[in-house]
Amino acid sequence: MQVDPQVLRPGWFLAGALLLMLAAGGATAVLMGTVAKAPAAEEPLRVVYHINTDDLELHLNALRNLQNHIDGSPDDVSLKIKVLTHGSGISLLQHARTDPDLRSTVNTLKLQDVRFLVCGNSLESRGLERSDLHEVSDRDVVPSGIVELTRLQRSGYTYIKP
Amino acid sequence: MSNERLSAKNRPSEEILNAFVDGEFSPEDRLFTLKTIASSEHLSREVCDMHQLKELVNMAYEDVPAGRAAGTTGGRCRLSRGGGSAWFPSVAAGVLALVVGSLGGYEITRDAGFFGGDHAAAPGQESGALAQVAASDNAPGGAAAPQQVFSATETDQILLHINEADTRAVDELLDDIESMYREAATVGRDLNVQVVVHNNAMGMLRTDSAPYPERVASMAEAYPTLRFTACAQTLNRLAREEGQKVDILPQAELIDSGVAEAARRQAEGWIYIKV
Repeated sequence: MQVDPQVLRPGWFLAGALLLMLAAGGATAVLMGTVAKAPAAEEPLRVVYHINTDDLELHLNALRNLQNHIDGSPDDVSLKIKVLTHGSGISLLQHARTDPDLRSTVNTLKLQDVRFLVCGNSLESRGLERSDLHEVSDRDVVPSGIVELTRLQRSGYTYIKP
Repeated sequence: MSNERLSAKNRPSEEILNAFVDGEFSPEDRLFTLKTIASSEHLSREVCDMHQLKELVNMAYEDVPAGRAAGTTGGRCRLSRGGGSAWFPSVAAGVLALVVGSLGGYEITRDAGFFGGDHAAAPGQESGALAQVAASDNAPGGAAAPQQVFSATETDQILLHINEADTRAVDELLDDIESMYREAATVGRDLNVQVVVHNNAMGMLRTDSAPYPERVASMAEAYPTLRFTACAQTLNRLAREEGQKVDILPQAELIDSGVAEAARRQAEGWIYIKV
């Protein structure tokens, strides 16, 4: 009879409650994790196109490929496509200022949520400003193109070099 | 103290207390037990503890219906206690444990890669044979690697493939490598970088035509995880065409084939960038 009050001290309840909470928390997390990861089928397909040469013909071809890529994808697959211009390839968005064909292709792709990214190092080494390129916002300039390519691939982007 | 002794003598058994908290009594039994409990402050505190535990458990398992006794005993607890402040630490601890448990459970299970089927997780890190086999089983070509493949590793394995003769591109490649190492140092990641030189780009590593031999040497020294590798097949072809052996910079290593190396590394889960 003397033992009971000892055993039933609030401290024991507290310890038990903590353990239960931990177990319950773990179970909840597992459940939530399963729920969160379950719709893997609806994961968007992530692709990054890498452009690093100053070649208008290549630029036009690459963007045509990209449009075909979008057109050829099944409707239920959402696409996340980025074009990373880097090195001499940043001229793509320079050409887009003067070449109406290229400009309208770029604009059409942008309307389909294709992002055009520009390597900040390359801009700097060529003494170019954002304003020298066709509609590049602050968010479109990444500090280093190569680092961005690494980052994107690490987070699941497929790499294509046209 | 005397109060406690008294209650120890007359106290109802634990089964009765539990049944009371769970609301399993008929109204008569319930009233009787309630009186007994109310007569001892110690006992009522205990019952409150039990009730609280039950509530916490109910909270943790959302789909369990809240206790039927919740309304009535809840009121009784407050009556007999006179102040609820002593509950606060245990409630706070419970909530904290729930949060810590959730986060801990989630982190552990996520890092262990239980979800999402991307068992190719962390193909990098060690270049041990096991890791490579596992990676190449799951990610042929590496191109269609699932998202967050590298979430568990702190090492980026990057293959830079160059095959065009363009001094400016070489210059920028070296700049890029430096900025990669700078960036990796600031975010605390390790890098494994392999430059694969083949075909028309071989001039970059040839002793007789390398545009930046000192820079290649100093970078190879500054970054021990940076490797310059030259395609042996290209060198053999050049030697045949020129009728003499082609020497490469001392920092450069020979690999059997540039294209094969690029394919192999991608199969192993390396990040591939064509310069």
